Amino acid sequence: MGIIIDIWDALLLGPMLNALIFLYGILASNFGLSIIAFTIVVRIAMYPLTRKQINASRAMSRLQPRIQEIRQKHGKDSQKVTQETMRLYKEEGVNPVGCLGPMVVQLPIWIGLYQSIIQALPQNPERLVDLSQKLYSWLPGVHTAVPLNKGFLWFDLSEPDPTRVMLPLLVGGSMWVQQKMMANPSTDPRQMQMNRMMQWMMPVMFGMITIQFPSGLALYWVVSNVIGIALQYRAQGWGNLLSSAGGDGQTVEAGARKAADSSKEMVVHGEPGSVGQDSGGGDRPGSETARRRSRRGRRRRRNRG
Amino acid sequence: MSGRLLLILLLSGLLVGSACSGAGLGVTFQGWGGPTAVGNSIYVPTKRDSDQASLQIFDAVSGAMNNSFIVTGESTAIYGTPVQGPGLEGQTTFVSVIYTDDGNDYGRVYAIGPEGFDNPIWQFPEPGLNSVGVIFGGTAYSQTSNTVYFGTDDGMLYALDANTGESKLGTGGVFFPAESPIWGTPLVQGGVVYFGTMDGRLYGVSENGGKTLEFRAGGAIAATPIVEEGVAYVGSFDKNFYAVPVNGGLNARETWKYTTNSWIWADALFGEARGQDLIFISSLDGSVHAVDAASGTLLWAEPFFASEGIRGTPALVSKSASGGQFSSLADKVLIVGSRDGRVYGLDPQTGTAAWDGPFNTRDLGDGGGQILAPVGHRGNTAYVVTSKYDIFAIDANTGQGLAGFSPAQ
Repeated sequence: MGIIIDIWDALLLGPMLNALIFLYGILASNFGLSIIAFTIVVRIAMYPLTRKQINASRAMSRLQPRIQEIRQKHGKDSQKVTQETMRLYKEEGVNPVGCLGPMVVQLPIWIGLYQSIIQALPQNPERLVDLSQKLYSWLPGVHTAVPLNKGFLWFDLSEPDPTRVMLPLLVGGSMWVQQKMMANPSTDPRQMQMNRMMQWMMPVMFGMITIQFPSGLALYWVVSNVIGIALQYRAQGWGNLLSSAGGDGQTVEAGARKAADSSKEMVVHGEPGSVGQDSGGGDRPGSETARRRSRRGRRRRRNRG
Repeated sequence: MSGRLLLILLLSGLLVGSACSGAGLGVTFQGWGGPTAVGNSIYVPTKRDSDQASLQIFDAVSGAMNNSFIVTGESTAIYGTPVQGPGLEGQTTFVSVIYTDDGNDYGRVYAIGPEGFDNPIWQFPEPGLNSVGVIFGGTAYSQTSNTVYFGTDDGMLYALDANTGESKLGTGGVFFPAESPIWGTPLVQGGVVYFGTMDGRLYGVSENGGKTLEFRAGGAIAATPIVEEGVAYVGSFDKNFYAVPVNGGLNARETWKYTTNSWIWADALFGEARGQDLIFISSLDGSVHAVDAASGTLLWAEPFFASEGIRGTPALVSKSASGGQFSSLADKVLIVGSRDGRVYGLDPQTGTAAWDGPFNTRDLGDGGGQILAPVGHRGNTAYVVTSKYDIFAIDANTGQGLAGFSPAQ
């Protein structure tokens, strides 16, 4: 166990802790700004994974009508349905768990960040002594920065939000928006139910966690969600956010209709999953992404012709 | 999607588990007040088996506990070493305490006599009156002005009448507002109160009021300065140890600085050998240095390195049972406690080991405790307290523990 903790400290906690304190030193001795800058750096570093996640999510949406067809065709033979679905994923080069990548990567970052905030803002002198042993002696500015100023906006970054409402709402709200934008359409009632549950469960859970945890971690979540929303918007527009059906599975028929429409559109454009098939909303009409895809589709049709 | 759900549940479990593992919120203050010798007794701040701090009084030789004064109040801790005040030996002891009230932490200074905290001679502030900030340092007693000084985490230096506990100067008893946390114990010398702040300033404030010295270090100053022959010596979290002339004014510059590899939190010690003044510096990188007080050059062949960082102030302990306060360094042992619970005895003139090996507190008592408190001493015995509140008495000549002290010895 000791060696695992040592590895964790050396590879994740140490670099994160020192990076946060280093950023604090160059950002007007403001730990809130340091966390924001750190979040931006993390999101940039994870951008390839995020892009993969968006692509995987898009591809899953695209295949929904065909998966539905498989289900209809093979009925209650669940083994066959699974086989055919997996074959379809393989044919289309889709990794059904591809969207989990960024979440898996973020998991240790969340835990590391939580520990870093606790350690960077020690609540008693004993912990401050511990901190002295974790700072890199070669990194300029980290030793002189300590002890850090804990205040940011209306909260103490080492303590839960004193209002108990504002930060939990910001975390939960921003997460809900992001979830809603990312939601995939489904014609499978079970899947829709799961979507709907996830739509609410994550924001509520994170909102609840925020009530108990240091505000610094909540700040990371809010900023990370806002960046996620911006990236999602850039890739797919508002997605399912402005739609009343589809991703959250309000009606099976509506979801199915949208999926069917998407399917038609795929044929029209000649590129699966190009416009309008995601989340019942897809790219904003006229958005840069939509235009780019449309151009690609036309080029392919010309080539085929 | 079910995989994602599992992941979220896992995440929540890990976060909550991490929070509950002790790395999270709701941290209580432990305290690291050092032992102090009063006559034939040793006064030791502790918090053993309780959330309430207490001052335990042991017989200095037998280790028998003669008394235990429990600090009243919720979740209390003592970070400063108790200080003896006016009156007969042991009659008045000044103790700075942290206490929690309604979820907030505050400081209080007690002057206690034979009835301990239950019926103190005085306390400041009086319960129910204005509160003061958390006190991470101890108190300094000026015999000349009969005043007790202490600093708080909200950056205030207070001055109290030693007999009555009434505040001196300023409104609300604020003697000097420093505007940055004061974590160290102040030093009173020559009518001036010297103290450091966590924004890296070293101040000198006249007991009559008015700032006489201001020096800016590169990092926080949490140690107590020492002043010898017109020079203030203090270490900083910027890894440097500074020598600053006390008449340097409000933009004082250091005469010299000496650099280690980590924060300097322990107070420095002053000694004299062969007509030369020495300063002993210890750092959280585990190193101990003896430097020339005039030039800041290392006088030992090389620094001594303990196996872990040093937070608690070391002690120069006499080899003779009579104490020999004014004996030369040749008759003393420099005793240093490190974070990993080891205690080292060094020849102060050379920095070499004075004992066969370090005294390891982890082999005895509850084990696993750190040494963060200053080393106390009486005669030729050093007294060491660990973060698990085990108390050890160590013979300065041999480095052997004295029976009867720590519960497991």
